[in-house]
Amino acid sequence: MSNTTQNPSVMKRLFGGSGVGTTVLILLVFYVLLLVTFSLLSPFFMTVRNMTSISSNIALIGLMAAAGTPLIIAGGLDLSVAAVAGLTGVIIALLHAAGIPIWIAVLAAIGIAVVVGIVNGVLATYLRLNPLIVTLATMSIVTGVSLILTGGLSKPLIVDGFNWIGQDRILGIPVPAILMLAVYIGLWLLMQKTHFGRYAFAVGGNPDASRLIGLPVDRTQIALYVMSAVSGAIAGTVLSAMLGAAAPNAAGPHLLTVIAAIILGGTSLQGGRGSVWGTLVAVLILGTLNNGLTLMNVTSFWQEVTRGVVLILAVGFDGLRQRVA
Amino acid sequence: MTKTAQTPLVEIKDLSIAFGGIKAVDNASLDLFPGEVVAILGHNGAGKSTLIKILSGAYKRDSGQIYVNGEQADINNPRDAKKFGIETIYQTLAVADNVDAAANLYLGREILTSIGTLDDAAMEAEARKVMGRLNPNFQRFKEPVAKLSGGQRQSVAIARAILFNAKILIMDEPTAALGPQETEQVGQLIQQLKKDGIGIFLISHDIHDVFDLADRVAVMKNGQMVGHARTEDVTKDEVLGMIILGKCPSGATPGPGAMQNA
Repeated sequence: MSNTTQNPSVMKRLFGGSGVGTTVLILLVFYVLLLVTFSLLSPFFMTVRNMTSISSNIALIGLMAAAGTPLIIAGGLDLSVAAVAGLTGVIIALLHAAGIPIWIAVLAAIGIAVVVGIVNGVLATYLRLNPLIVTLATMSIVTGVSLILTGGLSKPLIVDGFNWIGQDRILGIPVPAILMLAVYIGLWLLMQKTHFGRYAFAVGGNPDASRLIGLPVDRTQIALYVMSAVSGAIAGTVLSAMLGAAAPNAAGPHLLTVIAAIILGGTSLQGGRGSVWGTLVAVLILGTLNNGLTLMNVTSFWQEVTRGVVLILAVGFDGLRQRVA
Repeated sequence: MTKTAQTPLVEIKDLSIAFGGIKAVDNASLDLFPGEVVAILGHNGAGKSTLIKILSGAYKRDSGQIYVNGEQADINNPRDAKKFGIETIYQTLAVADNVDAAANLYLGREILTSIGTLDDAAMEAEARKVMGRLNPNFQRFKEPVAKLSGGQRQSVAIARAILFNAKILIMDEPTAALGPQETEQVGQLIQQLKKDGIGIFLISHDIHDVFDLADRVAVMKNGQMVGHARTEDVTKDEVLGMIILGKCPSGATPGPGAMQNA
């Protein structure tokens, strides 16, 4: 009996084993190469101003992708997250316009996200519907509701004591980036240090065995659908605070980037494997890529193409990893 | 083993379950005593796996009773079964392949630190203790179970059951996926468990897999119990006759599924 991993490497300890650490490392190297390349190609890239702007943008995508990662690890999938982000801004703006205190409005919007998460979760678990279709449907419903509520127009949302969460900086770091980092640390602790996280891995890796063992398979997944929706709601709150307005479909175009980031980050679409840090580095890469291409005067039309190509590459790598593992 | 002197660990009485009109298990009765190995034999589809899944809580019975230590046990899901000390090692091993061995042993019943986080160090230490007894060569506690061999995975599944003070162990085709050396290993494991007073049901469709391990055989056919016999009272051929024809030999106690004018 060979004994190769008596002392798991630091990477494994940090990222939770099974080649995930290696994936994160490779992505980090790629990220650094990307930074170097764009610094050489554009004098505007490595500036404080540009880096700050990237990090706010990245924070948005990062927040939406955050809880999606544990959800996919546990064998679920949430396409409605960006739509929920949009709805969140709309609810906050409308409630605030109706005279409700801003933070109560935020809580109410998060509450609605929780309901969407429960609906997604119950349909995908107890009713055994395909999560891809379920959340595609709720995405459409939620987007539709946002459009109905606003008549398709954006609503101004400039409120004392609110917009700072999207616009201010603490010690030079944009608040959204700090929020995002806090969410990622929280999720990492949840996944690596709690029994809930362990269930998520087991449930995604082998749902049938998990059921036989007596793990609460459905409840674990539903909780993760709710967390995904809530992370969408947090992203939506930050986005509306950043823009000073709530646009019903403001976050929609980011959905593909969100999913691409999760997969590129080493989370397996088959479930059972992945890490939030992988997602975070992938978000950095994709955000930087977008920004770099913009600085190099590549039109946003081409960026749309790039996003699709990156998604295919990410899924391709995922498939490759499955076969190698 | 004197049957009358002891209360059986488990007594199954008149258990039935039907799936869409087909009686997968029809009025089956069976008992199991501490330190005893009972092999449940039958063709594929004879109802043995279904019977055992009722006992382990994976299926809910339509009728019949289960007694554990003489007391009626209401088993409706896997958690109930575990409460009564019934642990199952499934044919398709119920381990989470992507989680490491130590974590698998404690899946669903993790050891937590005082602040409520996973205590991986304690779990690994306990896992090493149990595995040291069952399979001293096993060292790969921190690797995903998917990377282990069939025998090693089997050890993990058995250790998992032992760790939680299983009194009744159900093993579904325990050696079907194993090589000769690993089969031998599982045989030794079973002897070890018997010494600890654990009662074991072995499920198999191949008599050769289990005949030498078992104290008693029970044979099922078409969902019914053909009969049961102590292995020293019957030959392998007679047991094959029970499996294939439902013919109950003189050394066996016939059940409702026995061929009538045998």
